[in-house]
Parts: sequence; C-alpha cells; structure tokens
Amino acid sequence: MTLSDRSAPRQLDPPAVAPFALSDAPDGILAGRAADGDARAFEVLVRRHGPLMRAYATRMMGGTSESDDIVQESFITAWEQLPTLKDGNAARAWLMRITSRKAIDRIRARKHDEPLHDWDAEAPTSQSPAHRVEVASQRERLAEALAGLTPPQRQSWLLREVGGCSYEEIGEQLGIPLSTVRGLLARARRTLVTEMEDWR
Amino acid sequence: MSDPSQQEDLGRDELVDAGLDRVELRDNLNRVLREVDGVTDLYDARPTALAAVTAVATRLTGRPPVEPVVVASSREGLTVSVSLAVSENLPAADTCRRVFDVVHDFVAAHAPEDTLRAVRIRVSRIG
Amino acid sequence: MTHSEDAGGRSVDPVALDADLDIIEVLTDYLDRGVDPPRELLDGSPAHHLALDALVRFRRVTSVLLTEDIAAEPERDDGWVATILANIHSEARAGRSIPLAHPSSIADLSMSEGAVRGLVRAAGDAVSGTLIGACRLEGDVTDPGAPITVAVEASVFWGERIPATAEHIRAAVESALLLHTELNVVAVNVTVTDVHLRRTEQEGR
Repeated sequence: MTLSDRSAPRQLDPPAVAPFALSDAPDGILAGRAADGDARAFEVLVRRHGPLMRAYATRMMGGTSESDDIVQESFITAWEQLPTLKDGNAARAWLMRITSRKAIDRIRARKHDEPLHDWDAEAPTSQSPAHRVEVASQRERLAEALAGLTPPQRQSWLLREVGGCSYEEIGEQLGIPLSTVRGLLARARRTLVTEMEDWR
Repeated sequence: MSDPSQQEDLGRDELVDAGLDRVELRDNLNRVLREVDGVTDLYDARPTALAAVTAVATRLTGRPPVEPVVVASSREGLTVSVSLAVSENLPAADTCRRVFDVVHDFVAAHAPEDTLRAVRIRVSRIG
Repeated sequence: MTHSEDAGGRSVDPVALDADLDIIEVLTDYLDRGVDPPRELLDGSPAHHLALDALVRFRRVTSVLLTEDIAAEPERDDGWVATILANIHSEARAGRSIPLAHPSSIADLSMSEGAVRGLVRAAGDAVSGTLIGACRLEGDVTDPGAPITVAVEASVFWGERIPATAEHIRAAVESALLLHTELNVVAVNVTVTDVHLRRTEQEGR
C-alpha cells in the first residue's frame, strides 16, 4: 500500500504485531462501532450472541418454529436502538432483554384467542414427564422439569434466571401484577429445585 | 428514468420525460465514474441506502446492487447524484472533486444540449 | 412425581413445604445479590443448608442449559446472518452531511459523518494491537471551518504500553483526517476503554 507523505501513522507504528481481528473485540468496542454504522462489527455481534438468543427463544416458546424469526426481529430492533445503548459491554444482557420482549410479544399474540388469565394455575400432573431415563444428564432433566411447568411459570422463570429481568420487568412484559410474578417464580423455583433434589 | 426520491426533490410538474438518452447517459456515467482515480465503488445516492450496510448485505446475499448513478431531469436541467466509496490512498475530498469534474466534462461532451442544474456527490465510505 | 405442592404424590408435610418455599425465596434473594447468606440463617436448620446446596447446584445447571442447547444444535449455514444483515438499514447512521468545497455553483459535494467515522476507525485499527470503538465528532461539522474535536474509544491489546499506543492512535487519526477531510480538527482525544486478550486465548485458558 502506498500512502502519501501526509499519512504519517505508519512511520509511528511499533514493529509488526498482527492487527486485531474484529472477532477478537470485546462487546463494548463492537457495540460502539455498530452504533456508528459499522455493519461488520454488528455481524460479529450477531454471530457471537445469535445462537444464545435462539436457544433462549426456543426455550421460551417451547419449540424452534418461531425462534429464527424472534432472533431476526431482535437484531433488527437492536441495530435501530444501538445508539441508545449506554454500556456496550452489557450488550449481551441487553440483547437477551430485547429477545425476551420479542418472544413475549409472540406469546401474547398467540394467546389472543385463548383464555389468558389463569396465570397462576398449577401444571396438570399429566404434563409431568412420564418416564425418566436414569442416565439423563442434569441438563436434560432440567429441560424436562421446565417443560413440566405451566407456560407462565416457565416464561417468568426464564425471563428471571436466563433473561436477567427484574420482577418489575417481568410483570410489565407479561402484563401481570408483581404479586403474581412472585407467586409464579416461587412455584417455578420450588418445583424445579425439588426435582433437582430427586436427581441426586 | 429518474429515481423516485429525486422526483420528490424536483416537484412533479417540473418533470419531463427522460427518454432513452437519459438512460444511456446514466449507464455511461456508471461506467465512466468507476474508472475515476480513487473511486472504488459507486452507491445509490438515495438516502435510504446506507453504503456500508449495502456492501455487507451484498457480500452475504450475492445480490448485485442497482445502478447507482441517478440522472434526473427537469425543465431547469439535469441533476446527477451518486454516492462514492473512495480509496484511502488518495485524498478523499480530492477524489470527490475529481468525480464532479468528470461528470461535468462528460455531460458537456456527450449531452451538450443539456444544462447541468446540480451535481450531488457524496463520499459514503473511505477505504 | 408431581409439580405442585398440593397435587399429591409426595409425602411431605405441607407446613414444612411452605417453610421450604420461604427459605428458597430468601436464599435466592441472597444469591441474586451475590451475597453469602448469614451463618445464623443457615445454622438455623439443616434444611436450610440442604436448600442452599440445592439452589447452588441448580443454578450451575441453569447456567449451562442454553450453552448446551447451543452445542446440541447442528451446524447452520450463514443464511440466518445474511437475512438479518439484509434487513438492517438506517439513514440516521450516515450522520450529518459534511460539505466539501468547490468553486462551481452547481457542485453539491459532501462527505457523510459515517464515512469520517469509518475513516477514523480504519486509521486507529491500523495501529498494531488496537481496535477502535465508538467515535464522536464534536462541533458543527456542517459549518466549514468550525473547530472540531474528535473523541475515540479504543481497546488495546494486553501488553501494549497504553500511553504510547494512545499517542499512536491520536497521530494516526489526525493525519488521516488531515489527508482526507476538510475538517478543522483542533483535538483528537483517545480514551482507552479496556485492555483485552485475543478471544481464542481467553477461551483457551
């Protein structure tokens, strides 16, 4: 590369160290660049956090069919709102919150025709996993136990434990009072922890 | 034909039929401007097309970009608009001025009957 | 097996269960705040110790649930990334329009603020061991000759001397702006926001 005389920086460079790949950059740097319009930095964020967001959406929805759409909508919203993100190093938690909102939007839309407000109901016993494979990993058992919760319990729990939402945010997103959020989380935690005890 | 966003700028009643010669002029400018020293790419000058994003999307989707140079005509003359990606090896502002000169001279040489009303050149990317 | 406290199937005293529920809530609250539960609370009952152990184990499983979900996913092609990138656009990202001088009255020449930010990033990135983050042009860039201060954030590779590297970045940015733009740059301020390792090395440790 030939640079004109006015372009002095090369002469000041310390001797050869390979420049960083953007994929090595911390989230804060990438978020700052993406907020400034650097689509390549945004691409790195998409690759880095997209799989987690997709897994989260899949757990929230109880299946994969809508998770790609949720991830896509989340990133499009993220691109638009990146200039408002104050701490780029919190990008992952921020992206998970956006994913939460997109998933909940879909759950609410899906529930439009159904009676919605039996929020704090118990899961029917029939939803409990009928068979247990002795060798199942703890993670598979947690997944099973999660599937056995009522949808509102599961959603509240995922929003809290995986999405990092506060009780207030969960109430806001699900459109339910704080006391109901507390009740849902208490039941969800107890059921899950008690089942965990059985795994020992 | 002129681009919709440019039509808005000019106002509907000012528009005259662009005709084949405009399309030819546009195509020629698209070709000639790519050869100007320091120009590495041409982008659609419409504000909705963000140059860098378009470039990344094009790489990943393999979709070719539309003809970037826009030639709009009205009774007052032609308006030529384009956005540029320029090389970091030549001063960007100079490259931009060089593109203006090429547009100006090209229209004067190949469409002498036309008046150039405005030439809008925007540097959207450097290097 | 049951998922409710009162649907039967588990031979537990409901009063004890309510107490369990309370202790789970209380301990969760401590864990959420990253605080160790007080000794008196744990020593109050062996059940409290058990509940804490259970919660800690449970959180460990929770923390790997999604990462294991990801690991269990088959390899995917880049289609999903392309779809996302093809759907992002924003006029606002181009920023302000910075006029470029020309004697002709029909010339409307400009450089986008986004292009200048990209130039600043490229110039700073070229300094070895650094990556530029956010970049701000402070001052009225639409007014030719107005004094402009450039503020850039940078991440510097672990082991680089920070003041010297910041000076390299500053000089590189300044000369790039001088070469390519007509901005009246009065200062380039570099803030080193973090020191980092290569991700692959971090993960390998």
